[in-house]
Amino acid sequence: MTDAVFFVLAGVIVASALGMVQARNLFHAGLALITCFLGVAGIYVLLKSPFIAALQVLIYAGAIAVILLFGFMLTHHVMHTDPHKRFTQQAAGLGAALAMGLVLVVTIAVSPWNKGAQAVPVSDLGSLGQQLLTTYLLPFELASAFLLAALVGAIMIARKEEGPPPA
Amino acid sequence: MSSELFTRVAQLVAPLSPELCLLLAALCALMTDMVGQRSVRRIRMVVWVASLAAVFCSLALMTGPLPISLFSRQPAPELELTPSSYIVDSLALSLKALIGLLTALAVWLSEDAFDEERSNAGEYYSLIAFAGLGMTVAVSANEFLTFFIAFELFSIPLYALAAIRRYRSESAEAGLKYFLAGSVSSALMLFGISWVYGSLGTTYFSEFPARFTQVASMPHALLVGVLMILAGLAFKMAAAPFHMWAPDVYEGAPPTVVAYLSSAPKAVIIGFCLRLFWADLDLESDLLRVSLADGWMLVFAVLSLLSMGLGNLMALPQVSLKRILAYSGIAQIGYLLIGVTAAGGQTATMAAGATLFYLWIYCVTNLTSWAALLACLPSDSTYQRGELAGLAQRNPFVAFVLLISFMSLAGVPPLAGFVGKFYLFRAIYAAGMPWLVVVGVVNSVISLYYYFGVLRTAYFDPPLPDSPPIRVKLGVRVVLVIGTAASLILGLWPGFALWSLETAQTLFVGR
Repeated sequence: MTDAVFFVLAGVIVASALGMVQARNLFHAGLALITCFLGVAGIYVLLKSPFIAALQVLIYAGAIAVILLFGFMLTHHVMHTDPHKRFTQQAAGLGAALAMGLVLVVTIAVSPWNKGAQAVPVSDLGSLGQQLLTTYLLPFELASAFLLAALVGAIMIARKEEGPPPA
Repeated sequence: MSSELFTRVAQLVAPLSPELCLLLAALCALMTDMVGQRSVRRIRMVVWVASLAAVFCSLALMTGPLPISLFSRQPAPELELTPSSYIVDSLALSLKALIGLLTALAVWLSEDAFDEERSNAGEYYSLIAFAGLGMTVAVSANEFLTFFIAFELFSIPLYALAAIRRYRSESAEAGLKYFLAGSVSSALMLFGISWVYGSLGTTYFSEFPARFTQVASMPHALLVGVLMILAGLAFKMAAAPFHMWAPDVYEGAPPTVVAYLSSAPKAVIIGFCLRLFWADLDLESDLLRVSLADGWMLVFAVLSLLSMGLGNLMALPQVSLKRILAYSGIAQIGYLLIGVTAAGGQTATMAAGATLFYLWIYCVTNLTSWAALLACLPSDSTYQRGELAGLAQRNPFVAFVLLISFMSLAGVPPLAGFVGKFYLFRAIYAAGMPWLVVVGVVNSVISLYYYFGVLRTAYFDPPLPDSPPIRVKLGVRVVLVIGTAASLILGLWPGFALWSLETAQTLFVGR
């Protein structure tokens, strides 16, 4: 049963990811991206981490994708761009992707994976929070500095042009 | 009671003082920009004072007991040692001092560079400080999650800085290219990290050897994962064949930004390679050494070979000074990777010391070369080689700085670059790869051609009739004097060079 659900979800993820890359219309690409995010959330549920799944739906499928779609709709001229793709480029990209995929799939199949000594506890929110504020305190706090830096950079780039002084 | 609390706070704060200096600088730069009359001078002073404070704190910490482990985790039941995610050791501190120095130099260099966009000054200096913060954390990271966050923390500000002149299409293009190439490399690295975690069940570097001994043979997934991580790192330091973005980004981004982003991240990545691949420089205990012994040395040797060869050959036909320096930077990464390769051999301590020594020399000299070009070319210059014509008559001081820096980069005796390269070649010879010495020497000879081509234009071509007079600003002058003095002293005073090298080597003994 779990296997069947997994393969359905995997199919949805791969199909929507392909659809996103291939879509001519950016809005359609955005919708495909949301489908892909929801599929990944399904995988998290399957892995018995409903909390991560909820975050995935709220943050990725919710906030990020909605902002993305708003961005597309508010900037009219990017809605219907038709990037000129050459056949050789597409073939080279496809070849590289297939080769990489083949290597990864074969490696996954032949490698012994470390499954861990004990089973993962089912969505232990308490210990997750505790880990974040003890063991992983440094990356957790660094992330706030990182977000601030990203925000400053984004605002600087997106701010209304004040531009150079007239020459 | 309160004194006990004070001691505990001090124990946590003291080892993190270089990072805290830069974090405070970044926040103060933003605040200063917001309140009162925006004084660019004041913002700049905050950041360079804090950067020098970070250098001072790093050097002061080096005199105390090391290494200091922070943020330890409960050990796994089957493993004895207590893994920590953050390690303050002499390798990390020496790199932090270098990063602090480069940050201060970059700030001095930027004097009046942003006259035309005064409104961006606060953001500019705070992003430089944020990037410095990310780099100082990254060199201390002893665990993958911490490293990745720090890696992103210094990458994102640099993307934004490359695009800071967004109203100029070439700067916007440089920012976008750097961002796209950088995101791919980050994603690749993160994917690789997940594979390493999947194979070994831990992200703590200190747990790798013990975990690895539990696995019978090298898991292929681990191999692929480490290769992906290495590709991500090679992207960031522009080592061939992952160097494509560098010339375009260097050409489009503002030169003050390029001076910083072409030197400081390389210091981080080279330091991290030394830490991750040859962790303890101890033949018995290291994961990647045991697993593939000569394999990783060969991988680094190939990266080094490609970087040196491609960088130097592609630099030959260039007429744009920015592209010449970009390709020269790719070639220089090749020389540094010689040292990383050698650090996998029997004489690991010697090689790691030589790498660190050359890293300091290269980063400072590279920044000085950019400073010299910035000083003598007008702000709307396209950085063609011909614009340097007659520099020796127009401003002998800048011409002399350019001469010293370029000759040092090319490795001409008796300058610092020669001493550094000599030690690198000696290290790789001792590590049993004499063919890499031959390649390195041949490449140094090739590089003479394009370095001297630029110098010939500066010294022997007559000045163009309508060349504007060159006025070098105080901050830039400081950078030029420091960089030239470093190249001359390390080259002409062998005793001091030897002392620095031996100090660098002792950093790796008994870490």
